[in-house]
Amino acid sequence: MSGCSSGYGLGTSMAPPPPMVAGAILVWGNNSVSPTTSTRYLTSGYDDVLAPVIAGIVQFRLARAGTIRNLRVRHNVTAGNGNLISYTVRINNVVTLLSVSMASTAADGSDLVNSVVVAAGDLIDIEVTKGLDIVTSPTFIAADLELA
Amino acid sequence: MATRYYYFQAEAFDLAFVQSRVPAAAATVQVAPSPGGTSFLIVSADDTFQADLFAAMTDEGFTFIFSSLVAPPAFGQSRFYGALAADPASPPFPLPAAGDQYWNTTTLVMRVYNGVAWVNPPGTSDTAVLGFGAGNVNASTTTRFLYPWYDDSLAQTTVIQYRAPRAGTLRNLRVRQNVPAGNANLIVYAVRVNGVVTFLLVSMASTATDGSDLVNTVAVAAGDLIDIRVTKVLATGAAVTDVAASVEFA
Repeated sequence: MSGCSSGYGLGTSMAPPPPMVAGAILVWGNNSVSPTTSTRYLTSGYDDVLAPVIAGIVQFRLARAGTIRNLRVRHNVTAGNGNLISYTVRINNVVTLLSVSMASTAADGSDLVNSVVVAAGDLIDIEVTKGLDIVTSPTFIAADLELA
Repeated sequence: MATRYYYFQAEAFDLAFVQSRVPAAAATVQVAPSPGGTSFLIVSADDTFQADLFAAMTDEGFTFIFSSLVAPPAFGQSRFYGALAADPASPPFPLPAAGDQYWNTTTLVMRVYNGVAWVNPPGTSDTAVLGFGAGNVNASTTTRFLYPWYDDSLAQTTVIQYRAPRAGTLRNLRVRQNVPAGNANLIVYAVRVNGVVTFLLVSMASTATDGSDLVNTVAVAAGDLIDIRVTKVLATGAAVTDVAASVEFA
């Protein structure tokens, strides 16, 4: 055998095949989620502005059915007093168990446990809430999840 | 003489009752549990189709599924059922086993029986979702283009395309006008591939919240340019805002 170093090629020992097509990755993000307790909603994709309140919410409909899971939130620049910020996935305007609660001073948070079954056409968004002010908002916030 | 296998479905399965109704020519009755525990198999030493066996069973209310000269696989072996338009209400064969599969010709995905229900096998038939959007699509008839995913600003008149990272099929376009407005004149959101308008498009009133095209599909090659064009034949009076579109990339 020649030229094959991956372990999958002819003449090599049996090895697990590479992964098949994985679930879709959906991304949300904003530059800020505000230091106040006003409820806000992340923008799909990423928009380098303050996350809007309900009046400016931008929801979209899921293109297919599946299961959403593995929510991860990244505060690329942490800030504030360490009070908690909750990022909760909503389906058809109803909060789900897929949620991350993390300190404003934490860089990463995740929910790798809960999952939610969704139907094609369901409305999806990520709601941002705080029980207490955080004084200064983290910035460059990005959240992503898997649509399996 | 070869063996023939007869498959039946019962409302409620009673082995002793079935055995008592099997004509003598049919040698044995094998129990073949199905999801509801009601499928059964009759193994006959006679390879010709036995009309009396068929009549005896159907007279008792059992539903004849099919007969075959091919022996069923043993328990625990999975099978491929071929192409079907939908999940079978009950597997087309008795002895359903976790791992049985078929090709769904409606949704174009593989389906697998997990022992309880038909599901998409994780990691094999999941598809991507692409997003497009803009904070405002303007009220005039100027042609505009949505941003990839979203930008909270006026949709550009200069297209922002991106190249498909792989080949696939675009389908199930859904457009959400989060803040509808205007005079209800139509706005057309059309998927374009390499700058050419496709049949995958949504035409919706400016006052509508949701529109979709769940019928048309577009094949794309790796490297094709994708965008969504926004056009209006007549001005809408006021601008629709907070527009978000999604499309499945299978």
